[in-house]
Amino acid sequence: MKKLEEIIKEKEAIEAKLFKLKGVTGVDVGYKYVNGKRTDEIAIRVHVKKKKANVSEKEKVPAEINGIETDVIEMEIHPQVIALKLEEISVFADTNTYSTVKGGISIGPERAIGGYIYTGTLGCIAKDNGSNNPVLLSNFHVMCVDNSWSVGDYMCQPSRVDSGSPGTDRVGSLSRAVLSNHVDGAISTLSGRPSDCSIVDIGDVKGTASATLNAPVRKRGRTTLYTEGFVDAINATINVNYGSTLGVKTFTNQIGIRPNTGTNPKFSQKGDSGSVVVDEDNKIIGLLFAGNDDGYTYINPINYVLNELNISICTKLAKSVIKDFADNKGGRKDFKEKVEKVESKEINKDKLEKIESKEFKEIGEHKNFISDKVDKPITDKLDKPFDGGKLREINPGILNPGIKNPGITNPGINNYLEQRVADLENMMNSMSAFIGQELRPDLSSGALNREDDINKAQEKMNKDIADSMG
Amino acid sequence: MNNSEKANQVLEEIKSKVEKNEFFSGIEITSINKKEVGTEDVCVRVLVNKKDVTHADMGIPKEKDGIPIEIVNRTIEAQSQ
Repeated sequence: MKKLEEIIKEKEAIEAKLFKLKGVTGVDVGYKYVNGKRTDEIAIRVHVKKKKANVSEKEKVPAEINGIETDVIEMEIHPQVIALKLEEISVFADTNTYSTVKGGISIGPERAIGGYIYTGTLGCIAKDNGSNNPVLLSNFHVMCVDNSWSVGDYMCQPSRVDSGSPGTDRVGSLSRAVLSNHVDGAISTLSGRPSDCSIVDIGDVKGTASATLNAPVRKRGRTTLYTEGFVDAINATINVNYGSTLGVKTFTNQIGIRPNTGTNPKFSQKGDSGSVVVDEDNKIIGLLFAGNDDGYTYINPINYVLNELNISICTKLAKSVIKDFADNKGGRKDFKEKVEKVESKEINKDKLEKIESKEFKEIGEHKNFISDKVDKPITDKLDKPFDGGKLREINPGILNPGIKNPGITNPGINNYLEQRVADLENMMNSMSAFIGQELRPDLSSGALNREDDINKAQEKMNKDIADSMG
Repeated sequence: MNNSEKANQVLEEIKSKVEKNEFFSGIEITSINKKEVGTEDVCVRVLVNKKDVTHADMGIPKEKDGIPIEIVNRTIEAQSQ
């Protein structure tokens, strides 16, 4: 057997000649393969696009070259690059991870669909009218992609296309989705990060509005970032091509946006889906979902989006009300401490009622801070914990068993405590929908959110009560 | 009837004629631009998926009840990546 160096020299000598044969894509030195299995024989290997049964003697690779065996291997070699159209390259796409989640940033599902990963834009923070929890608004075709979606599909920010990692960059999970004649929308829960009712490069959202022809508008999306345009069409019926999986869908009553070519050649491009479009007053008029190569864009009217997804837009107004509340009266922490005090320490009914009525009064005073424009559920939520409920129902015999009924244990104490803890948990969860997470770091992952923590709290309360009885 | 209401009425009439056409990709109301500035005058715009489609191809007039009808080649796709 010849030495490897000799085989390489022979290969280099014959290489040019071999490349002149039809269909040859490469020549190298390596192990010879027989029936798909590697042998120990080193050979001069000739790669061809396609092996053919009948090859003329002239075009045939010789079985041996100067005593060195040859091997013909079927292989076409491609460069390992992805070819993209120049216009599709989004050099300036925002692929950042945001520690505070807000509108106008990259988002996408963690799961791969048919071997592909997808990206779009998180339009803005909204409020789920069902749970009152904050949610992330984007498109159906961004969060669900096709009909293989499920409630609970994880979302990551930035999207996987933008180097987001499943788990590490998880920001919530799919909650609801709609693909109707009016709306291409979806919402995800928010978890693990605080949120802000603003849009990057645009600022605070001030509510919603309807579209007026020729009105100037703007948006902030993951791909083209901040762009300006004009309402160019209303009452649009359009057929939108969603590709092979969803096909062509028809939408009615849509809004067309032409780019303001003085500031940007295109209003949107691929990857901007899910952005919200706002008017000059920062009021949202629609949810961006479709467009063409020229940057002409279509949006779902925001009123359809809110109705069909059963959500409300998160505005700074609501947050500032709560912030005023916090600033003026020491905030929720103080309130929480008082509630905990009631929970664990107070066994005197008079004192208890005094604290309760004080809390009630304080909240009542703060109703003055609530604007008429704030979504109604805010007042609902502030009222709810203080509607006179459980605290007034406490049996004196339970509160002062050692005094009035010595030796009597309370068979209902555990139930009462469970109910009380559950009420408090509900109250905290409900109120948290309206308070920026930066204002409630001790509550967003709070002690009352998990069953084991609730049990611990209950044990502590039991012990405190037992101590006070002793 | 004002200009906008009339345009809506024309849109509905034209839509029923064109929405089954093979070239149809959309229909909308838009303002008429003069020197790239939008005016208060509106027209109905029929969107088609092919260049050089004519009013005759779509079986529609160029104007109806004083509302101009234009044809624009535009294919619309979802904007995710």
